[in-house]
Amino acid sequence: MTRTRQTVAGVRASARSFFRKPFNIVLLVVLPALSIQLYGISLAQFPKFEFFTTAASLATTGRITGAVFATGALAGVLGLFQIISARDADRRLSICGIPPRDLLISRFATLVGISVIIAAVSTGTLVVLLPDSVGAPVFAFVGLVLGSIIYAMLGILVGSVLPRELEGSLVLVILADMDNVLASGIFQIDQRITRFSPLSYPHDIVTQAVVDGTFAGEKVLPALSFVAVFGVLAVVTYSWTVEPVATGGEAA
Amino acid sequence: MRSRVTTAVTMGLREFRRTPVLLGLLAVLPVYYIGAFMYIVPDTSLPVTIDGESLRVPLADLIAALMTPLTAGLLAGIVGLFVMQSSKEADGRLRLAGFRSRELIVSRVSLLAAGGLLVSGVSLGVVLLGFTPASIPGFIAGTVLAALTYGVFGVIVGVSVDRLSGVYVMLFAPTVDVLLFQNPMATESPRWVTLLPGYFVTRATMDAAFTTGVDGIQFLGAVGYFAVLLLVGIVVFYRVTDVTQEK
Amino acid sequence: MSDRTQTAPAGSGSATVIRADRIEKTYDSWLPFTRAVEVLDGATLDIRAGDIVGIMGENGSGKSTLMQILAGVLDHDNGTITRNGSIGWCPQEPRLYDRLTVDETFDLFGRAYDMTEDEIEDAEDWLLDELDFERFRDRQVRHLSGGNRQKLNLSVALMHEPDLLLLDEPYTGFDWETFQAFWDLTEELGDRGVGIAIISHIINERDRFDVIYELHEGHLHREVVGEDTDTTAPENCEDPSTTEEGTQ
Repeated sequence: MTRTRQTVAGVRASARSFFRKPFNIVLLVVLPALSIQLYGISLAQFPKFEFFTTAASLATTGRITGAVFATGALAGVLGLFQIISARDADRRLSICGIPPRDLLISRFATLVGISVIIAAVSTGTLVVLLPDSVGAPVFAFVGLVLGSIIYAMLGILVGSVLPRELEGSLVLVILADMDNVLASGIFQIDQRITRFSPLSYPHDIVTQAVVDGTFAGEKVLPALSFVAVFGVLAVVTYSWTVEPVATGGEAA
Repeated sequence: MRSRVTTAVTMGLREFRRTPVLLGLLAVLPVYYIGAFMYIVPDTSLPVTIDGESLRVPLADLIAALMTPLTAGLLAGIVGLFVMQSSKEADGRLRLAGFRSRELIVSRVSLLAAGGLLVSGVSLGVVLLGFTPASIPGFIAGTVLAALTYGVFGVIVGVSVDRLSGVYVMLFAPTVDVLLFQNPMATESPRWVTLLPGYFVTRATMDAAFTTGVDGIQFLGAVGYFAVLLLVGIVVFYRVTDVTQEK
Repeated sequence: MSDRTQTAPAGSGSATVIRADRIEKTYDSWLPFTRAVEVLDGATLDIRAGDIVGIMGENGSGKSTLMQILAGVLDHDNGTITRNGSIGWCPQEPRLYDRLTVDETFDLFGRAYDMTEDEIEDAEDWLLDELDFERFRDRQVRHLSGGNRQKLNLSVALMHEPDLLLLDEPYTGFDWETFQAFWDLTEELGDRGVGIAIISHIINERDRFDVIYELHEGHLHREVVGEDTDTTAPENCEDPSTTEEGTQ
């Protein structure tokens, strides 16, 4: 089997195992809607105090924040679950002779695909649930894709270091929550803190797309930097965990 | 000879001590939810209505007062969930071995109370470093009541969901309830928020945080809500661990 | 492997420790479009003091369900169960507290059985030695291997010296020595008058049993080991008329 066909087979197997878990499907469908609506309804209850620094109404800002949180948390958690459930099998495949790098490509490719799907679901839900029309849904989608991939990489990283579903997902959700609070722009927070918030860039892209209908291109590079950093760390740790300890003699 | 109840409670506390995820949450969440939020909110004040009285309070203080019962409730809810999860597996066998249902219920309720006091203590310890409530005893009572109420809620949730799902329900339910729907900053809350577990206990705690008097009606409501929930929790627990030996 | 010899044929003379008469059990679901599963349909069984009884059948035939009903953990739809004496139940999955040590598990269940501290200690020493897992007494259940967890599972069922033992696949994960020790222990308990029912898949262990019940399509077919196959209900049953229909 050529390397390309191995990778394709790996992606297909990976995707199948993902979509055959009903819990994953339920999360994918329910969480964005729940998050967007809850954030939106709850923020809409508040009067616009002078310390709220949002450009859009609180109801709109709430829904955008809910979408960004749901996208990031979901991508991170699903990435984590995917890596944990595949870890033992991948180690076995590695022993059978498939290079860890190829396994990694399959896993990453699958997760990027899943991230795009998550972003699409969140975008669609946001467009439906926002009280006003969305200026540029495609740009909003791009922002959510970036947020999703950032957290998918983080999910792989956490899953490689802490391969336990409950503990790992708690770490991710709490991180996503902290990040989202900093990114939301509801309060004026010191920029020296917010520039280290990975979700602040996708959040700004989505906000500008929804409110102005324009693309915040200057936010893309910082977002991609986070993708790169988390991606490299994820590659290193994941490869290390599936690498066989002894490579033995030559194959017959 | 030590009683069965004492033994069961002792063993239950040991189980908690040996659950790293519980200990980790206990260490991290109060510091994050209370401490970090107090730090990042702007240094400003805002008008809120508490117990019919219009007050101007610092935003950081409001957040501190609100996040304390929330954090205690959230952590206690996860404790309650873990109690039910371990009970579902092995408590039925314990009953078969001879534990009477009353003894087991008393043990688990005691365990829940101990867990509630512990998480309240940690949450209060963090908040009192940066905020002094107007009525400290009232604030403590409100926080403990929030913990107990959500602790029982965690037991009820734990009946039908697995550990992973249950932790997420218990992370988000108190947060959505207390922080979003019971927030004194909110001026247009829907009427159904009065049915949520956090309604009475949040109002009682906010009152204790910012006024020197104690709002007896809210406290009474909170105790009543807890009592009803406890009854439901006991019935649910009994049914889950029931065995059917005929003599 | 030793044959189980008795001075008297199985089922004669000794007291009944448990009798199950025409037990029926159906698993229903409230969800639409799901079928009800009828597991037991008039199952009848009788275990006497000192008997070692095997319960066999295909996967999914209802053996564990039957045993849980006998133990009193699960309710049944129809039929009667008469128990004479205390019961020790060893379930298929070790229903134990993961974060307690072996020592603490003995302590907790010993208290549940109303044993004194000395009795608990004696039982623990005996079983840890008999099943050879003394060196794990300070280890938490979740850190035990599958075999050792099963030893603890079995010990919890035995420790209070019950009149009837209900063991659901008790030797899962046992090494050969422990497997032998288990059968030695079982025979010793049988000689002391304990009634023992074991769910087993291991066909070539049949000679260790006095009586074998084969569960098939919800019914139990009884066979006294060493005699011709007998598919009728036990003849010499105590208290024969506890049901309206009467015995066969």
